[in-house]
Amino acid sequence: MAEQNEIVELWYSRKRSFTREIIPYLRYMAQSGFPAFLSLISIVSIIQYISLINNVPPNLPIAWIGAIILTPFLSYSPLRTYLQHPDLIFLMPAEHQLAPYVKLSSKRSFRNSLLLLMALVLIFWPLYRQSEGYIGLWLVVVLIILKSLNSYFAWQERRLNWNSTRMSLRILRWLLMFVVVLSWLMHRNLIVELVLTVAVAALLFVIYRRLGKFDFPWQRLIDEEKATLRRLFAFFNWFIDVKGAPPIVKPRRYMAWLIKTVKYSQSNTFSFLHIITFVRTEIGGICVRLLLLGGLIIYLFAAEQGLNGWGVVVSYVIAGMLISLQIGTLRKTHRHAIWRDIFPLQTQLQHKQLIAVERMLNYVTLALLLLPTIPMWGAGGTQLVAMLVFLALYPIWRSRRLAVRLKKEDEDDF
Amino acid sequence: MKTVLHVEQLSGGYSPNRAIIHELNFDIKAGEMIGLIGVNGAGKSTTIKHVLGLMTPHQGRIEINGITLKDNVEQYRSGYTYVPETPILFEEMTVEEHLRLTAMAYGVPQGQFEVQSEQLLERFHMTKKRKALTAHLSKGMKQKVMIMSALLAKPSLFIIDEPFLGLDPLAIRSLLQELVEVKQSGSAILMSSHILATIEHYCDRFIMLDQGKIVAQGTLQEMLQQANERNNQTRLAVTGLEEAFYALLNGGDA
Repeated sequence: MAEQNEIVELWYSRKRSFTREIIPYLRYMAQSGFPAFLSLISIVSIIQYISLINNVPPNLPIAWIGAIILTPFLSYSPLRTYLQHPDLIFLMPAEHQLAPYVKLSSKRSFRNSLLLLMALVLIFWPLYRQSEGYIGLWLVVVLIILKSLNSYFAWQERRLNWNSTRMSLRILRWLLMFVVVLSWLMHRNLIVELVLTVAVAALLFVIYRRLGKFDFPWQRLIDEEKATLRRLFAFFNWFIDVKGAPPIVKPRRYMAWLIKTVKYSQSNTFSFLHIITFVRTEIGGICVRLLLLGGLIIYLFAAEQGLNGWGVVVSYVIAGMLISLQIGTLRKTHRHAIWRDIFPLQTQLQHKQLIAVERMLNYVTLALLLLPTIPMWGAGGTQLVAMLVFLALYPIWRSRRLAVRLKKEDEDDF
Repeated sequence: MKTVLHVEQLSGGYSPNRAIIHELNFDIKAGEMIGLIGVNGAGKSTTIKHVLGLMTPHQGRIEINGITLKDNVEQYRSGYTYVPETPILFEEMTVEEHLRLTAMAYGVPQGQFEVQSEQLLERFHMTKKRKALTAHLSKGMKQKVMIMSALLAKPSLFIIDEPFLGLDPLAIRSLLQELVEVKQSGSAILMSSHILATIEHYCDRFIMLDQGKIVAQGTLQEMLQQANERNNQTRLAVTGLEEAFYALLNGGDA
C-alpha cells in the first residue's frame, strides 16, 4: 500500500514540476501579444460563423463538415505520462505496481481531450441543429462512448510490438471513426448506425487482441512524452529562447525544391544551412500547417466577402504575422552551434544570409497566402491594395528588426 | 619543412584565475602526424580548444601558418579543420548535404567537391547512406560524416579529437589510410587518442600531457628512450608506446 502511495505521489510530483517548468514560458507567451492575436482571430471567426449560421446555404453538407471536424478530435488520444529515459533503470523494476500511475495519466488525458471535443461539439451545435440528421443530445452520448473506445484502442496501439502495424491500425481506426461519425450525423436509420458502431468496435477489438503487444510500452511512452515536450517547447520558442533540445527532423520531400534553389558557393553557406533547417525541422512543418489553416480561413472570408472584404485583409495580416513569427525562430536554431566559430566565415555573413533567407521566406508565404483571396479581387480593390502593401513592406520591417536583434545578441554574447 | 602550427608558452583554462594547461610549447610541421596523448583530464581537449580559437589563452601565442587568430580570423580558421570527439552534426541535413555544406564553407570548387565526395562516400562505405538524415545515423556513421567533411576541406592542419571512438574496424583502416595520404600531400595532423597501440604505427611524433604540462615529446624512439631512462629501476626494457606511456606517467612504475 505504501509503495502504491509512493507511485501516486511520484505522478503528482512530476505533474507539479512540469507545471512549474512551463509557467514562466506561459508568462512570456502572454506578454508577447499572442493571446490578443488569437482573440482577434476568434472574434473574426465568430462573426463569420454567426453569419453562416443565420444564412445556412440549402445544400451545405453539414454532416460531412461535422465528420471532418469531429473525427480528429475524437480519434486523437494523446497520453501524458511524464515518463523519462532514466525510468528505464529506476522505475522499470516497479512495473507491476505502475497501474495507479498509468490510471492517473489516462484519466487526465481522457478528461482533457473529452473537454476539447465537447467544446468543439458546442461550437458545431448551432449548425448541427439545422441539419436533417439532428438527433439531439444522443449525439453527445454517442461521442462520449466513441471517445472512450478511442482512448482504449489508442492505448492498445501503444502496446503493439511494431511501429508499422501501429501506424497502419491508427489510420484504419481514424477512417472507421470517420465513417461511424458521418453515419450518426446523417442519421438515416438508427439500427444501421448502432450495428455499424458495434461492428467497428468489435472489429478493432478483435484485431488488437490478436496482435503481439508489450505488457508496458516503456520506450514508446518515453518517446511520446519527449515528442510532446519538444512540440510544446518549439511553440514556446516562438516567444523566448528555450532550453536546447534536438530538433524533430523530417525529410519533407515536398519542400526539397527550396533547398535546390541555393547555388553552390562559399558565400551561400549559411543560406544553404538555414533553408535546410527551415524545410526539415518543425519550423517548416508549423509554417505549412499555418499556411493551410490561414489559407482556408482567408478563402472562407474571400468567398463570403465577410466584413465587406476587410475580414480577408485582417485574416491575411494575422496569418502572415503568425507565420512570420514562426519563421523568425530560425534565428535561434544555430545561434550556439560550434561550427559558427570554426568555419572560416565571418559572423556578419551568417547574419546577412539569415536575414535574406527570412525575408525570402516571408515573401514566399505572403505571396502564397494571397492565392485564396482571389475570389474577392474583382470586388475589393482597396482591400487588395492594402494586402499588397502589407506584402511589400512587412518582410522589410521584419528584416530590419532581425538585424537589430542579431546585433544585440552578438554584443550580449561578446 | 614549413611550420603549420606553432604553440608558444600557452597557458589557459575555463576561468581567468585557474589554468588547466601550463606553458605548452610545440610545433607541427607540414607532412607530420602528431599524437596528443594523456589520461582523461590531462588537458588534451583544452589544448585543442585553444588551438581552435574557442578559448582565450591566459598567455602565449598560437599561430597557424604564421597567422594568429587576432591577425585574421578567417585566414586562421581556413588553416584547419576539426573532427570533435563526439560528432556534432546538423541533424536536419543528409550525409550528402553535410559534405556539401563543409565544402561550401571552405571554398572547395564545386567540381572538386563532386569528385571527392564520391570517393569519400565509397571509401567509408557510406554511398548507400548519402541521402539519409544524419539524425538517423548510428554514432559510428556520424563520426564518419565528420571525418569525411574534414577530409573534403583539405586545409593545412587537421585537428582530430579521439577519432576512433565508435568506428568499426573497416572505418578505422579507411581513416588511417586517408590520414597517411593527407600527410603525404603535405598537410599536418594533430590527433588526440587513447588507442596507443594503433597510433604508435602512424604518428611521427607524440606529445604527452599530464596535469596540463608536457611531460614528454618526440618520436616513438625518443619516447621509448625517455621511458627507459625513467624506468631503469625495474630494469625492464620499454618496447611500445603503451608501456612508455605508463612509465612516463608514473615516473618509472610501469
